[in-house]
Amino acid sequence: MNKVLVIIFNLFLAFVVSASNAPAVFKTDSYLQLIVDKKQPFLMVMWSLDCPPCIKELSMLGSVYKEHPDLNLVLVSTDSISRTDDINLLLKDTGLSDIDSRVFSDASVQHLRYAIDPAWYGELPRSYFHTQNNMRKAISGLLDMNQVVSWLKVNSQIHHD
Amino acid sequence: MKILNIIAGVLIAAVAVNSFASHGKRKSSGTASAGCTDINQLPTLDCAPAPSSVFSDSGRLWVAWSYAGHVYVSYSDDKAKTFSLPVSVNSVPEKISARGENRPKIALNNKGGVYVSWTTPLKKRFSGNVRFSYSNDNSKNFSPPVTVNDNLDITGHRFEALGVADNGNIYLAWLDKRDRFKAEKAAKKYHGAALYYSWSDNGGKSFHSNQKIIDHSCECCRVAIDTDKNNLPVILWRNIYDKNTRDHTLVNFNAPHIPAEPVRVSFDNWQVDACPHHGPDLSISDKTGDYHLVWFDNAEKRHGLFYMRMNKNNNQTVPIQFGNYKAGASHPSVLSKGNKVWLSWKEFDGKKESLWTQFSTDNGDSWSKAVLVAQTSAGSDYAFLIMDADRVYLQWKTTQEGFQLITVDESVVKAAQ
Repeated sequence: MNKVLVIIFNLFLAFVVSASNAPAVFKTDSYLQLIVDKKQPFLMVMWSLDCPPCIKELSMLGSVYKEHPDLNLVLVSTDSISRTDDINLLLKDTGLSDIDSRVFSDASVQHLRYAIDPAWYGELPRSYFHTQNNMRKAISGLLDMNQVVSWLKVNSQIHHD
Repeated sequence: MKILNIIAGVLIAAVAVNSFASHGKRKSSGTASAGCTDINQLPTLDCAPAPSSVFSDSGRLWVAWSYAGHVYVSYSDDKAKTFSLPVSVNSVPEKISARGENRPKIALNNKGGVYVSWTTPLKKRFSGNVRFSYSNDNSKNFSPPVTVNDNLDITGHRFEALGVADNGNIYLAWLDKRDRFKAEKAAKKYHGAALYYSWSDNGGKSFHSNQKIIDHSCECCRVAIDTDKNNLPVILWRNIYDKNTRDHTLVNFNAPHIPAEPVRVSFDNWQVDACPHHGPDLSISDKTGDYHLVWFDNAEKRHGLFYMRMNKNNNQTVPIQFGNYKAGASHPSVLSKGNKVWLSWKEFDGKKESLWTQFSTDNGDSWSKAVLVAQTSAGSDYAFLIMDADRVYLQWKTTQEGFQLITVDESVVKAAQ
């Protein structure tokens, strides 16, 4: 009986954990809100479960995050909300469960993309490096770890200044 | 025991909250009608995320679509105003890829043959199998689905394209990661996927063994296929050249079992280690035999939508750009009949998604102005050009308007200019 109890309690905990860590829904006004809320500089990476290079990118970001817990990162999955469980699993596998994560709302993907960047055609991964004075640099494709680390170094100097 | 009940109760509540958090938004978005959630009702085309359609010679519109683990086929005899009750192709439910670049496909042989293919994702990420089923009696009965890829490693066999020639030969081409799987097992690197194909000369009862056409294709863009006057397929896909140059490649065939040497057809030099999610399209003129090609690239110097004509001897015209790149022109479709060629694509102005078309009456030498044919403001699927015996339409499924058939033949385009 005790065994059953433990299993059920663990299941219960698993659900509570998965519910509390579920990525927030990313809506058309979320990006502007992020810029207001987020301590700058920050890095926003758009990714999807349907994108093999994105998984490589998340693994790389997971390694960077392990070494540099000050990595100010926002992850935005362009998948449907119905895939939240798969998203959570992947974030866990890549050591990114603690990162501020969002998932596209089920509104029009075109609208959501446009709200971030009209010049983004949906290719993934897509990264936005935000500097302190609200400037940003957009990069399509897999980032090199050095790009992220050197960006981090420059920014930590800014913080020290 | 009492504690157990309490915990179980809390557990159920937590499950309910969790599932509401995951799915609650869905219903309010209006993407699915009530019939999609009522298990006692047959789903309708409104439930389908990414349908495909084709006209029969008699003018009947056939649509393949998926919902909740089933591929369905339904037809319309009044140009998509009303549809037949859907027939489930696969009696045993399975996962079906249906979003953007991926969707169930449908083709006909005009003798009662209805052919359907789709990709079923497997448990491992990016893995999947190519599935196929046929009906010889106008969709009354479908054969049990078969897996067409003859390699069953849990890896990618996805993004299939389906073409049926006039003589009934069935061709399937897809992006295949069996060689990558093998390479990775041997701790070797393998970039992208490979293009494989198979074919059937007995109406889909069996398929010939799979053949590789090329290594290192892009791994997440749809593949385009059409069949020529010799009942042979022509296939167009995004390939990886050099380290990461994602341009397009075409292959035609000398015989069903003899693919010719693939030729590079775009030289835009889009260098990106990413998933573009922008596959090309292809249409072969029944009269001239010319291939009409459209694609999207986003290279720094050459970007946007491109049209090019070529023939079996690889005589390529200089690609021309169309659509407004700055307005997000993307996801093109092309259709040719005789000397006429139609193009279509989507744009977005921040509020409305627009569907545009342009046509040529001289085999793609000169073009009409671009004409806006439809708009929507709450999300839409890709659009596809299809035709019946005498008119051209765009299939466009939008969140607000549902499945639409928009007439875009010459007179409509001329009147709009």
